[in-house]
Formats: sequence, structure tokens, C-alpha cells
Amino acid sequence: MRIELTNLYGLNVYTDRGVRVGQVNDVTIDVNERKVSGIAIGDVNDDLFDIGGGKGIVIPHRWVVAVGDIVIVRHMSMRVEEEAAA
Amino acid sequence: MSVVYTRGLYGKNVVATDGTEVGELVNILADMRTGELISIVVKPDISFDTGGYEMDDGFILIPFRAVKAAKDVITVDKSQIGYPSEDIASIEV
Repeated sequence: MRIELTNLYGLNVYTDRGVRVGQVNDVTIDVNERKVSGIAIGDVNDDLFDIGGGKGIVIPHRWVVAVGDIVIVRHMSMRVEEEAAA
Repeated sequence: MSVVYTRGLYGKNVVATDGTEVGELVNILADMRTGELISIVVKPDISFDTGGYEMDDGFILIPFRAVKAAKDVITVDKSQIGYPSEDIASIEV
């Protein structure tokens, strides 16, 4: 699954149970580890996350199940730890 | 940990550790299954001699292991820019 990171921006993100999470705003990478570390998601489904005044959330890469025309992430229980996206 | 947001990186200068200007960052290739960063795609600077480098459609592909830092500029270790021939098979996913 080799992909250009610019192709990810704007993709819709759903959980593996079909619940919309949001839209990919940005991708974070760890330069030293040479890994994608997370996916910053904006336009967040507020039924799933209460992000308060934040712009979005960052989902760790290990939650990502598949990337194609959309991004599928593992279904998460409500109100996991929130991170404000830059 | 040196976690960076990628969206701000495009268009930044890519500079070799010996001071050579390589070009401008255009894209980053990753294997989204493993999360591994494979290479960076660089639009070569007019002054940069691209001979001997892996090219794709006019852009240089630099293996990500050559990337030392990505902040205001992206620095790459020139000794690791080229793909050693035995590595080419292993980076194909």
C-alpha cells in the first residue's frame, strides 16, 4: 500500500463500523523513526468526539486499518483521549 | 521524538548535509500498512546535477533514510541519497 501523502489530504475517515470520523487534514510523521505517526482529522463527527474548541484530533497510525478512496480506522470507544490538531 | 506535520513541508528547500541545494520537497511516499516512510519526492534545483539519482517523471526520489531533519529546511545525507542497487528491490512494496 504505497501512497503519496498528498493523496491522503481531504479523504473521508470512517471507522470499521461505518461511523464517520471526519476528514484528513494533515499527516504527522516521525523523522527519526521514519514512520507515519498519525493522521490529523478535521471536520470531526461530534457524536464521536467532543473536541471542545479544538480544530481536530490526531489518530495514531496504528489505528488505521485501510487507505483507499476513504480511510478506515479501528472503531474506538467514545471519548478517547483528544489531541488538538495544529 | 521529532514529529512534524507534513502539510507545511511541501515547497520547503531540500539541502544536503554538505551544503548543496538539492531542490524543493514535492511529496513523501509512505507504506500506509506499516507506516514506513519510503522516500521523498524532490523537484530538483536548476543547479543540481541529477545524474546518478533515482528519477521519476523529472523528480528525484530520495530514500527517507537519508533524511536527517525536517523543519525550516529538509536536510539529507548526501552519502545516502542514491539507492544502492541491492536496495531497489527491497523498497518496492
